[in-house]
Amino acid sequence: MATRAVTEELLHDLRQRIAAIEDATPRLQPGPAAGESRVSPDHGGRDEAAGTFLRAHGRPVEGLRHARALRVSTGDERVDRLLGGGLPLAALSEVIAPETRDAGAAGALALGLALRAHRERKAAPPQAPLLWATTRQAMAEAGMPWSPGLAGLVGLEPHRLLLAEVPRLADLLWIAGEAAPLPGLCAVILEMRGNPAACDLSATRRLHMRARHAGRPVILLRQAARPEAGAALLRLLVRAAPSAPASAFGVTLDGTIGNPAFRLTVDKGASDTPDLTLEWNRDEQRFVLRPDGSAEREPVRRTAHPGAVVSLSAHRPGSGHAPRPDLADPPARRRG
Amino acid sequence: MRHGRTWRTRPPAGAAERPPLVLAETVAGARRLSACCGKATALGLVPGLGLAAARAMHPEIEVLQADPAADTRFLKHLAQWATRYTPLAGLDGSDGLFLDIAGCAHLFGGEEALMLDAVERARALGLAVQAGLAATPGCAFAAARLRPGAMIAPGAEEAFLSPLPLSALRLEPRAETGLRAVGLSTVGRLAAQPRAAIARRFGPAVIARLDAALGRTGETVSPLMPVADLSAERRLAEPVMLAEHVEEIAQGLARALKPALEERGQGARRLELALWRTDGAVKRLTVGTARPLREPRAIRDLFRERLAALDGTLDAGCGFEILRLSVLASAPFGESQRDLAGDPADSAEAVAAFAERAAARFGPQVLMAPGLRESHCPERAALPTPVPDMAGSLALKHDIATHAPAHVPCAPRPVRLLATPEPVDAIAGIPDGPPASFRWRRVHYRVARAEGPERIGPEWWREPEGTPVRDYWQVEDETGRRFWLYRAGFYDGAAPVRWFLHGFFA
Repeated sequence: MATRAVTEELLHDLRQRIAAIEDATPRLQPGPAAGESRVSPDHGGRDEAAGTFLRAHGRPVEGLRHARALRVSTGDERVDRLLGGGLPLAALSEVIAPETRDAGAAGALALGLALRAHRERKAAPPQAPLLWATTRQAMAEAGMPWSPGLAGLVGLEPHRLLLAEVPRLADLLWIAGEAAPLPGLCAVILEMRGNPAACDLSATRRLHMRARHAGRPVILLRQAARPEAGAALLRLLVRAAPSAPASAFGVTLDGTIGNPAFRLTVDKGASDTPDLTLEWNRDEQRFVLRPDGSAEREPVRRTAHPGAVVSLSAHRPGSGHAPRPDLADPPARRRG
Repeated sequence: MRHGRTWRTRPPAGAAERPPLVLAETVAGARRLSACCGKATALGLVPGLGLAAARAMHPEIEVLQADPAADTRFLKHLAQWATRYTPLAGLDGSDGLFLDIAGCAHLFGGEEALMLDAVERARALGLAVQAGLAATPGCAFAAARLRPGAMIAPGAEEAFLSPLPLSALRLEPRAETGLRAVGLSTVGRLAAQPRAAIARRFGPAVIARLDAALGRTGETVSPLMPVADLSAERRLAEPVMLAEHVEEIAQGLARALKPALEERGQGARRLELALWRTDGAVKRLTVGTARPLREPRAIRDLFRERLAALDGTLDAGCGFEILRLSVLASAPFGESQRDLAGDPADSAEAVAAFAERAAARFGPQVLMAPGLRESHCPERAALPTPVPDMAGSLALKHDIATHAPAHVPCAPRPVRLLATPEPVDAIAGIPDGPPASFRWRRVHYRVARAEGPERIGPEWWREPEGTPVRDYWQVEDETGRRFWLYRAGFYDGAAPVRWFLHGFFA
């Protein structure tokens, strides 16, 4: 284990240097051989998890007295433990949709986390608006945040949504930089496409520091991006997962689309976290861990089709799909 | 106003001096002179003369094409420049300016000093100008054109105008010619005639002009620029060029405006900073505020963003010599008392200030809120609309939250909506089955589950006739992605049925 010791030593040294750059001495010195686990075994250890956070980052957040306020619960203790204590409250977090078509899931997850964080902040005005800043390109590719849907899913009242749409990435970073230090906003969600060079380590670090001062989260939402090094404390890759069937009066309704589910890969945060599947409980407004194994739902096969079944497509023969016995082939392309 | 080109421009190398310059325009198919420089006038050329005749008399003249649009543009720029004397500066025909200096003269040491200053500065800009000063615009017109430099005391208009020719009255050319033809060549003679007969024969405009010039009826100058409620200005001994200095002076001006705003119980909603460049150009920067504003520092910050947004395109030239900050629009200022807990009001204030800075930098359209409408049509139900009044909407929000009926649709709605629905190739059971698979952006999706349909009819009072009915489906593909698709039309053979993807669920 000599290699490990050397690594720990190096890590400790780097932390010291970062702390020196930030003009602050680390309060709690992590010994190179301290070796405690980041994930506390019992839930009483949210403090413990937050303490780890403190050690990892040198000094406590200004304006926040209690270490336990540093992380907010996602609503499920098991998820919190897997994420290293929950969502970092006063920090930059990153939510990545690897493909544009997952942008709906990623956006909803970011909003769910942001609004849960807002509820846990006691001092915040309950009607504080949420700023969603995006570039024109991102909005055109993945659609705009739509408040009727957001109200129904995460309970964000339409008048609390503030949208900023700018043409260039530099403008977006300006908006985010100006908005990040405002405690009057319930959260700042910053959306962009891909991994632009302008949003590099120093830009994310700046956002992170401002979020720390404001005492509430800034969430960087990337569409069609890959994970890359940044200052965010937590980086999640989000894909949509098959939803749970809806239930009414204790009866599960087969074939229905119920609460949305997300497949998360923790890219940065707690170490050694396996991929997890979360479900958003829209009635209780919290995330629930879905036990592995039940993640996959069998596709529902509709058995009965009343009447004639003819497939039609408007202009193109929908080639490329496997033929289905219960559907006829699309009509051949018309000439002319 | 005569254009002083001959002496302003240098003669070309080799030539002793520039030839006389005339401008020509085409009037009713004939080329005629429209303006002559001083030397050309000395040669006996006058506007209105045929160009061929002028060339025959003096072959050496230089002829340029007249450009009345450019003249008007120049005159408007000059009127902007002249607002350094009074906000009420208006155009007078195609070659003059009216300045209403009532209440402004004392700032320049009296009426005469103001007039001399204006003439002096205009000459320094290279313009040949004449000025006159009187209590009525009509009389001032006559003084400036026929007796340059004259100052007519109130009440002396009749004595001054009587000996002057009819051209002093701004009459229609036809009426003037007609009056001359009957022997009425001076204003005094015209005034001595019976009014009814003159009005009957030459039109009521003649009498109206006469009355206006004599001060019997009022006439106002219509200003080119809107007149501000409040303004403060600073004249600098040395021109400034740096943006930082401009910001600093703007803050000083805002400090000067603050007591007046406090006295009125108002705050600024729209502010304009006008900058007079030493070469006569005037730049105007306008910023809007998200809430009624008085704080000098906040006003300076707004102009800082505005200047930053110009990104160096504010051409300072040789520097700015006058800066004026005007309140173009104001609103009642809600006196706010910090509550003991402190923060909430304060933080909302900070959000409003952020909205202002963003608007000053990117324009007022940058921040948007969902504009809720009573509509089932998804495109219209919650279209993002610019937030015009951040403070107002922040204050209003509590009311909305408590009183407005909850906007809860019956079926689940997507969290993201495409502004324009994108066509997909879908395969679905007829007559109204859910899509079994579809192709969107060249990728094939196989539908595992679907819920629907939810029928949304077109708004017949808005859409053209024949707009198809939409049947919306919430579908989930095999990997769990949830989409909002709709079918436009029915499989009844009447029209091709098209499928669209409109939004994404979480």
